[in-house]
Amino acid sequence: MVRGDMMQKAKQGQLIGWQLMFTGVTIATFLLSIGIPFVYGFFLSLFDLKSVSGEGTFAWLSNYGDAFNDKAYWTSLWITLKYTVYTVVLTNVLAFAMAFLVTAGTRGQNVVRAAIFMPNMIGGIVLGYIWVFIIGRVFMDFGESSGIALFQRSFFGEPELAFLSLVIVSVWQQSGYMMIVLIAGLLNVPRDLIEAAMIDGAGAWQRLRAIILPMMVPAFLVTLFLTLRNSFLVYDLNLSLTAGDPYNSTEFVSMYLVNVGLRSTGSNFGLAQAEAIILFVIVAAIAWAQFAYGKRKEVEA
Amino acid sequence: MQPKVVIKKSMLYIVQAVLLVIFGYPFFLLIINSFKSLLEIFENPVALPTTYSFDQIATAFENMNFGTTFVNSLLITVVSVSLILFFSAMAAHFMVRNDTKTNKILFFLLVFSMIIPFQVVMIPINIIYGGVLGFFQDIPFTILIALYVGFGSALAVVIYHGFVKSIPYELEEAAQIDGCSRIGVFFRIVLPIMLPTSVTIAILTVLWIWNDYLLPSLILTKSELYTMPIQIKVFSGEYQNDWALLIPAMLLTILPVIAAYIFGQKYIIRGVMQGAIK
Repeated sequence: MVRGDMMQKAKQGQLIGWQLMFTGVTIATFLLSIGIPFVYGFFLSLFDLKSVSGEGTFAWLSNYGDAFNDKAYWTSLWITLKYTVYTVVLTNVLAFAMAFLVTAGTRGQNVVRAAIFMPNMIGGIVLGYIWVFIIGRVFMDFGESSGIALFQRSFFGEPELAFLSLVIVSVWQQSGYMMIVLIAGLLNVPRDLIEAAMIDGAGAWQRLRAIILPMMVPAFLVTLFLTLRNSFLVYDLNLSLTAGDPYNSTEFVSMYLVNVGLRSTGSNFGLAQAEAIILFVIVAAIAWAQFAYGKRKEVEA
Repeated sequence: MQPKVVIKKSMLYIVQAVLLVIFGYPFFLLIINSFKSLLEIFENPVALPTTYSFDQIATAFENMNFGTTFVNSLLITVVSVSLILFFSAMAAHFMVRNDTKTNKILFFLLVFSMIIPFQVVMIPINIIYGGVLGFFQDIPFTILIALYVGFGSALAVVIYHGFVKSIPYELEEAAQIDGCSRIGVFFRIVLPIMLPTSVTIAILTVLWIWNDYLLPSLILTKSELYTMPIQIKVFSGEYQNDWALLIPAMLLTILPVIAAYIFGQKYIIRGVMQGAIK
């Protein structure tokens, strides 16, 4: 009996050893990057914190109260939301159309496909500056020589046009990636199903609505998740293309949090952290809603 | 061919040509303007250069400290990605083969962490590892790589996890009966089968780390530690509107990436496809 216990213990000890050996580094780095900072973040949000040394005064939930009354924060969230809606819709529609185009079987479609994907190889910082040049210089030049009024205006000087620039460049950047994901979905639609529908006399539109779109729901859930996340949390492109200008009219929520939570002196880091946590709650709610929707669709299918 | 089909075909080609221009033209402009003087760029940004001068490219190369910057980016990316692949593969394999409560919780936490935006842990990371512990000053590369391994593990473990489930356990059992140790099974049997999955994860992770800006910009504040994206950001601040320097600097920055893309285009696109399905 005692011996059995010892055997049991020894076996358990061995298992713990294996566990540490195989998963130890993953657990440790996970705690380092996400576990500890995430939990500590809740703690921080309860403090009135003026320096990065981590010293502050306990303030209960007052930071959350301040966050709800922080007009600049909600304005940046609102414009981020607006930008997200435009970008997500346009990116997915364009990506879907392009996925069709480059799988039609024309010669050279692989080259086109590769070119469309190319912006995804390059980070938002560099892409942003390339487009600062194109919009700031080439558009201007085109406006002068063609006489089209729109291109003679200063895109980065007017809030609406700066916003539009961000949407255009984001769609341009992301749609190639989403196109590839949707092609993967498109290839999963069985050919004989489409052929059977054709024999039954279904037109192109009917085939799209009745067969292709329903079969592609899983792929769309992926692109929707990715575009939502990329757009809602965009930072690099925002920084290089407009830097929030003019007059903070294009300062999206990530940039707002970086500006108040890291860069500026004299701001309350506890408040910034509370605002970051509110952002997390919103993102988590969206992700959960999407997951629930996806599960329901899966069951239906 | 019927005329209707001909029209449809040529329409397809025209639309594809338009797409090619929309997605390729910005890069074309970057190339041609790299050879021009500032005056030429301002006179006509879309014209081909009259003379091909490498002066601007050479100056940009020197001013942006290209060699050091490139090596920094390469070092951080290669080390981080290798560690992510290795340790995530080990963890995922162990977690599938030992379906304990601990491993279930661990897997759930990893999946859950994928919805946490970086901005939520950004301020705590800055305070703990930067302000309080001073790691950003003392061991900048080490802490950056360690953080990358932490952030990259979730996706890697989840993808590997799905793959290991499809490996028949009999294969590993047979090797164990033949006298292979637990570690031996992992290195000799499992790791080689995982190779295609590893390529997929490597591609997704390289694209992310190579181009990442926010996290390294918090940690790498000394110019000799800059990565490519940070360098371009700093460069654009120093040479505002000096497009004759900024454009060749950007060209130099994306050149290695474009080269890698032309070389491994097939694998990259396949990697993105497979990464998305899983």
